[in-house]
Amino acid sequence: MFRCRDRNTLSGFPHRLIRRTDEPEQLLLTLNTKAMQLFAKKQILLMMKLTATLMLIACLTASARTSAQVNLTEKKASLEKVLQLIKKQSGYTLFYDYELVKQKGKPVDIEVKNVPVEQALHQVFLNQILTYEITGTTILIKEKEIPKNADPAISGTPPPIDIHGIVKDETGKPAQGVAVKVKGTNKGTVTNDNGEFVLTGIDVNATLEFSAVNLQAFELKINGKNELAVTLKNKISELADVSITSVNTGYQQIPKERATGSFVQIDNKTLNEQVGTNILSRLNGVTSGLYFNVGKSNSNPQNTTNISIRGLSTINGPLDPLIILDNFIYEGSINNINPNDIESVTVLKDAAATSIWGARAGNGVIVLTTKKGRFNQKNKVEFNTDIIIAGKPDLYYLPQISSSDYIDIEQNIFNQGYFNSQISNTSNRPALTPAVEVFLKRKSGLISASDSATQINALKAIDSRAQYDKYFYQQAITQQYSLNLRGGSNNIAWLLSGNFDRTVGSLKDQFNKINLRFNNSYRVTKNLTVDAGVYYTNNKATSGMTNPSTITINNRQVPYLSFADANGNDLAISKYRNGYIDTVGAGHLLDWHYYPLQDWKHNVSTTTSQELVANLGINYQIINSLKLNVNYQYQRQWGTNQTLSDLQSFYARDLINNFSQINYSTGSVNYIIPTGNILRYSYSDLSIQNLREQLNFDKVWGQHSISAIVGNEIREVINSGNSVGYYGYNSDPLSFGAVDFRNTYKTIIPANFQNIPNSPVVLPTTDYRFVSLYTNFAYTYKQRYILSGSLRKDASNTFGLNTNDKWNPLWSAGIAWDITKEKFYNFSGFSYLKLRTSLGYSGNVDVNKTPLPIASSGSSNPITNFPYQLISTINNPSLRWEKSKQWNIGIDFATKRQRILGSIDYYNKKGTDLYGQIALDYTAFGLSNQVTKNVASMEGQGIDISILSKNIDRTFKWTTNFLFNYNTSKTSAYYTPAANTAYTLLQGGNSIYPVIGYPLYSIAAYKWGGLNSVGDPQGYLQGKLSTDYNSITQSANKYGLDSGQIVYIGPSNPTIFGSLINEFSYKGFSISFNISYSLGYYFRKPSFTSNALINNGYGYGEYSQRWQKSGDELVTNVPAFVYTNYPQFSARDNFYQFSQINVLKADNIKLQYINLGYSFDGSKVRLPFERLQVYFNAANLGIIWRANKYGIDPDYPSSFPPSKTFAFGIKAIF
Amino acid sequence: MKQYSYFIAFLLMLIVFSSCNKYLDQKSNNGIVTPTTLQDLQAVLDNGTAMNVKVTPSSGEGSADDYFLLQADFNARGSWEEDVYRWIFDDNYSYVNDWSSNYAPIYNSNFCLDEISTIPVTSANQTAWNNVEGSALFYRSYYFLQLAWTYANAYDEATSATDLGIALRLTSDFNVPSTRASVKDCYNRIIDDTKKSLLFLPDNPQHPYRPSRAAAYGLLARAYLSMRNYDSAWKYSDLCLQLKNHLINFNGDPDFNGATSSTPIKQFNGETIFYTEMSINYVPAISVYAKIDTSLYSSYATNDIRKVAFFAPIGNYQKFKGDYTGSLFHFTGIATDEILLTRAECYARRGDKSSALNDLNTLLLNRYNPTFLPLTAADANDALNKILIERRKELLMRGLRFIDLKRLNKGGANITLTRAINGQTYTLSPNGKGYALPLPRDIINLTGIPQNPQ
Repeated sequence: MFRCRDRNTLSGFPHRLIRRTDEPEQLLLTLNTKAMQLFAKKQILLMMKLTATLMLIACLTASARTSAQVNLTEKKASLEKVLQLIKKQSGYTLFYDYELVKQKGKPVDIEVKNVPVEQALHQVFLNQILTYEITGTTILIKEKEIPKNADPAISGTPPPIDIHGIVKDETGKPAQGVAVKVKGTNKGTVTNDNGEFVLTGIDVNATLEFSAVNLQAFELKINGKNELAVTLKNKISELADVSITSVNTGYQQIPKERATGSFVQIDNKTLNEQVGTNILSRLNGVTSGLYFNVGKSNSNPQNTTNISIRGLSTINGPLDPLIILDNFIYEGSINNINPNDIESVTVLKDAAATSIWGARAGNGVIVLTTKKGRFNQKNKVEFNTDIIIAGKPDLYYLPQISSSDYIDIEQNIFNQGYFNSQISNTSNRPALTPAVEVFLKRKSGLISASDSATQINALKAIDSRAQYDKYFYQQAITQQYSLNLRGGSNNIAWLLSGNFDRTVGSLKDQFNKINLRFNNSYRVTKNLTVDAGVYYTNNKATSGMTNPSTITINNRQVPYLSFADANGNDLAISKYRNGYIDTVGAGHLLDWHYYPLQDWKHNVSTTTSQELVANLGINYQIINSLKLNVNYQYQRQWGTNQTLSDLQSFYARDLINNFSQINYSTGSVNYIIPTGNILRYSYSDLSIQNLREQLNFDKVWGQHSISAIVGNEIREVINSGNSVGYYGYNSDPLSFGAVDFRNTYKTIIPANFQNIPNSPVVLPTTDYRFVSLYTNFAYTYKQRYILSGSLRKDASNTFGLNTNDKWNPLWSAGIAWDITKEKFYNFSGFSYLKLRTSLGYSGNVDVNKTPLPIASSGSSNPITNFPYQLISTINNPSLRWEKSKQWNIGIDFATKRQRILGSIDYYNKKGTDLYGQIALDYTAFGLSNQVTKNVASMEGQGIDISILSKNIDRTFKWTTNFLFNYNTSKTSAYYTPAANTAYTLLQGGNSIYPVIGYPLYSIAAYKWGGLNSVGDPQGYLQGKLSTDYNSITQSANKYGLDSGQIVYIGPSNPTIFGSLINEFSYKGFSISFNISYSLGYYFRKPSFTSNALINNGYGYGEYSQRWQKSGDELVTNVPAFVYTNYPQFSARDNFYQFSQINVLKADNIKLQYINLGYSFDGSKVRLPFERLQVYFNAANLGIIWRANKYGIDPDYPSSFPPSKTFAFGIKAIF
Repeated sequence: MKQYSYFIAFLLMLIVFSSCNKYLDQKSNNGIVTPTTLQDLQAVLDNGTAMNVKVTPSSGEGSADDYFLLQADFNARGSWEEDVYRWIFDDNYSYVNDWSSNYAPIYNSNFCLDEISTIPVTSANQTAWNNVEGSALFYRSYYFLQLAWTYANAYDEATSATDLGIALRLTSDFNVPSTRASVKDCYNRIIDDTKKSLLFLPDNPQHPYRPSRAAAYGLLARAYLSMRNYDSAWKYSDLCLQLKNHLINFNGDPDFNGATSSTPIKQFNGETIFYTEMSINYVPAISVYAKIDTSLYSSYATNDIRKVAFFAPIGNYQKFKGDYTGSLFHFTGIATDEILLTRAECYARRGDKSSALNDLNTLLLNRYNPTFLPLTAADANDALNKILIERRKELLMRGLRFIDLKRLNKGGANITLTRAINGQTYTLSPNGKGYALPLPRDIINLTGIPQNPQ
């Protein structure tokens, strides 16, 4: 009953913690936290309830914990038998020397009932010359300590002995990965998963050194004992979190030593090298084999992260790697995860590592491991805040035609009649640019020649970019606050964290995010642990100003726009012909002008998203070697997007005006759309459930060790959403008007009949289901030979029946060999040398594909009046995942004292069964002769090298981390006609184009023959210079590279990339900087074309270098400006744009970031902290070296590169 | 306790997996229409555009002798159409073609047959279930027969087990490779499935687009006639006519628009048992190009209303306008006139002269004006010859002439076809290789199935 009282006291506990999270905000924040407080109040209540419930469970179950009891009734039984009985009944581990017990054990008489183990043992050993020792749940049998020199027979050097031992931490948990070393020798080993170790041939008087990252070092003289039980004290964790000795695959922790696969681990320290609100972007430049694709656009499904691990594995399939949050696949928005909640990240690269994730792991797997409380940890408070400032974009980065040149061109094409059709267009009433309006007025005789000249000269003096800079852009500021409380007693470990992020972007757009997280582990009995956790995210993004580069006039970019007059008054930008919209309404309509500087305030888009991830895990130790895990997770992400366009917004005025029905004779106006605000609303909902059952088996006997898991899981992902528009919307008091979405109405511009937009839409609900069965095992012999394997079978309702029915598992196998553990190994250069290789398959699933036939439904046949359906897409019962086969061979090494650590991997990938179009035997269907099937294939290979060197390791420390990656890929089978000629690669560079034998991202170009004497670009036709661009194109299309008209240039994604990270530290100071490099690729620079300039108003800066007069062809490659009536006008521009001359080498070296930090040690300085760290980070610092001479960042040839960012932050531990 | 734990663990795993298949039955996206219910399947079969209209082969008609092309029209056609016309196949052809057009409704039938096997029959859905099952079996057999008539040799008892037939696709899974069955297997399948469909279909359909028992009898009569199994052909033509025997009287009938009308016979008229149209893959089969064989045209008597109703002058020649489609597209479905002529032929072949003449005159009374005097014959053989002449005159441009030529030549009729083009004369000898049209080149390349010898 007293536990009920506990409930009250405990429920107050998180409440207090929450209040403490608020304190630093009040101290350090100057922002308005009213909303957050309101929100926090609700959450506190929720958390209180939740905590109370969980605590109650813990208290109730704690009482169930009892000491193991035994019953014994034996007469003259051998000691061994009795010990075995005790072991069996108690479940305790028994360590003893078989020979010793057999020879020295005396027969036992005993009769006890339901007594604790200790008491039974005491009785058993009353008359023995042996004795026992209980450590946790381990019983160690040994000889009674005999005083030294008592036995004079022992003299000289005793023979070496073999030692078995078990190492536990102070909570009694087996400590894995503890280094056990014989002092003064090279001999040593590492404990296995059960904390056990074996050392052979050890001097009886040797001293063992135990060391581990999270445990305090310990020395033990063995004194001839061959069975050891050692308990190590836990290290109280320090500010810089510990490095990782085992990798988390999401299913299990694999000790690094036992791994045969290729993993990269990013520890907390490395994650904190970069700042920002996105966890994945913190992997950039520090993760071997991982590359962020920049500027690529593909229509592939599941393509949001831009991350590729070891290059591509697919052509048309999903591109994102699989992201795991702790145990389960995470399918929410990655922005919802706060980097401060993540302890470490593991990237699974090869098949041995990824295959456990089966059909969805083909692009590699990123496992995010959250911070957790630990048992027996003192209460700790960690606070972190920083402010990140990003500069304005460099608007002058992209060379652009001058306003003066631009207006001259406008004059030129105006005179040639280019604008005539627009001027006379009485349906769409297209807007004209300010200069063209002037020309038109002059032509119509409305203004004089001198007035015209004055106005034109005024326009020529304007540069839009100065306006953008003045009125639109500002510095972007991000503030991050994070508070994290954790602690643990003997049977409860808990963590509570709260984060708040706030960003005001460069266009005044805003982003706020709150994360709350609660995580608990309860050790209910010694065999049963229950984990429960909740992760809640709430974020809100609000739109800012319109991106000025999207403000165009009739889809023409205009480099001389003004947004405000000399007095700072807002100016309108024409959306329609100015004169028309001023007069058409005869005074009955709303103002029809567009004011960019005001409009954003009246046209506000707000996106909110909330996410809840709740999980419950039960770990039950069935027997010593067998453990059952049951994990359940519920994830839900729901959000809305609302765009409220009030009556002052152009959107609302435009729609209302357009649908207004004016009776000019009576002057009455019938408003089809209510004159009020317009709200466009959409809702989306994602909910995911997972259930996993898993048996873990771990056993060590003699020289053998086996670790295996077998399990199954089910997973369901449901996505739904809807959208609707409300007209005449008023939020307070709530009201909105009814509109007729059904009928069409005559609109003013364009003058035709239209439906009112934004009618309600219910999006299709998708329900993806997966069932999986998996196993993974590792066998280790003599601590040095490791064999691993895995099997996984997936079934899904997005695969075909034939696929689900077949037992067609994905598998992997790997072997590893630790050479340094061999007796013959005596090379002192490397203290650790492990060779490993693996082979296996993983998959890639496009969940949008369906094995079902897709029919279009007709209401009823007009002839028969029967309802009818037409099957338009054929059913494919064999539809399945894409397959990625990977072979990996690698070496891990460390030199003496771990001065240089590193790994080198070579891998070879084959993507087979990739989705691709193939000719269909239409005997089977008839309505199509092509079908998407698992038929395409690609190949890739590469090298990953990662080296960490401690160059100087004294008070002054210098470490270098060198990452080198090489990757190539090519399409090996594809069945469209285009896949056989490199013609499509002319468009290549930014998207995947499958051409057999060529990289998936690559560029081809027209062979360049220079300019001719009239400024036309020249290509080659049948080996001769030619300006017949149509023929060149046709021939290139038909014959590809064989035509001689085009040349293959090379890949457009780096084949070599990596980084060099140097860190220097001296006492509390540290400085690190990351230099990244990308080599072996090409990009297409933007170019000036008459077509783009005339039709889109886009004039690249090289316009000024164009051919203008005879002889210019000797000094320039930029063709002459020509009007649209020029022979082969479009083909000529197309040829130049995609010619060799515009493809440049992209190689570059960038300074990724610089990090400066100073750490105060609370114990040395009088501070209220245990530790305090201040840091400064500067990122996106720019290019150190580039291969091109144009000053272009090859990753951003036609957009602004990311602005430099500067961050300052404080981290404190109390 | 510990033993139980193992047990519980395994039990849990079992529970998950025993329900796995049901769990995965959930459709992954409710935005896509996937026909699964009986109503859906019926709707798939009720899509007349896919199942009935412009499907049946036109290339067989193209190789038959009821029409000819003017030199200019011939020159304007593609090479494959020239080949069909001249019976010389040196060029290949590929998608779209008669092969693809006919396998489209076969896919729909297979799909319905695959799906319906998962739907249990109840007293409530029995009628709907039967209609889908029977219709799908009928449609598949109907188009199998059309393909066999076009792409396989005429049925010959002696060689049918080894003669190359068509691909008997019996599943909607396109991953199952196509193979060519023997002619014997094809006809057996068609007959077995059609007989099976009789168990499910209603006597008469709600609409001529839909299969019925009458249609199935008609299809069996067609199949047996083309196999020259006249006893069975008689049996099923007779069964068919017991269900439906209405004839349009050209002397005045609601279904008859008048002989001079450009579309004298109405669509879905009283004679139509099952409605299909010929594809337009072989464009010259359309009336504006196809000039009617002059001797055929001149064989119509002046008191034969068909001479005006069926034909309209085009230049110096005649074009056909007697389609039961109410348009210029050719009707290829099953109608009472065809079945009546089949029964008449079978009577004659079994020596029943009077029954044969009775059937023939029944038809002709409805085709001639009242001056018509019933035909007489010296003997059954004479009656047979008269019936065959009337068969050609009544059923022209119905997709039947090509198979009639094939089976009659097999029976020793010894008809040689000739065409004159570019001053050159081409012939198709009786039982020549040209009677089994070549399969599309892309199908041969993709599947590796054998091509018809050319």
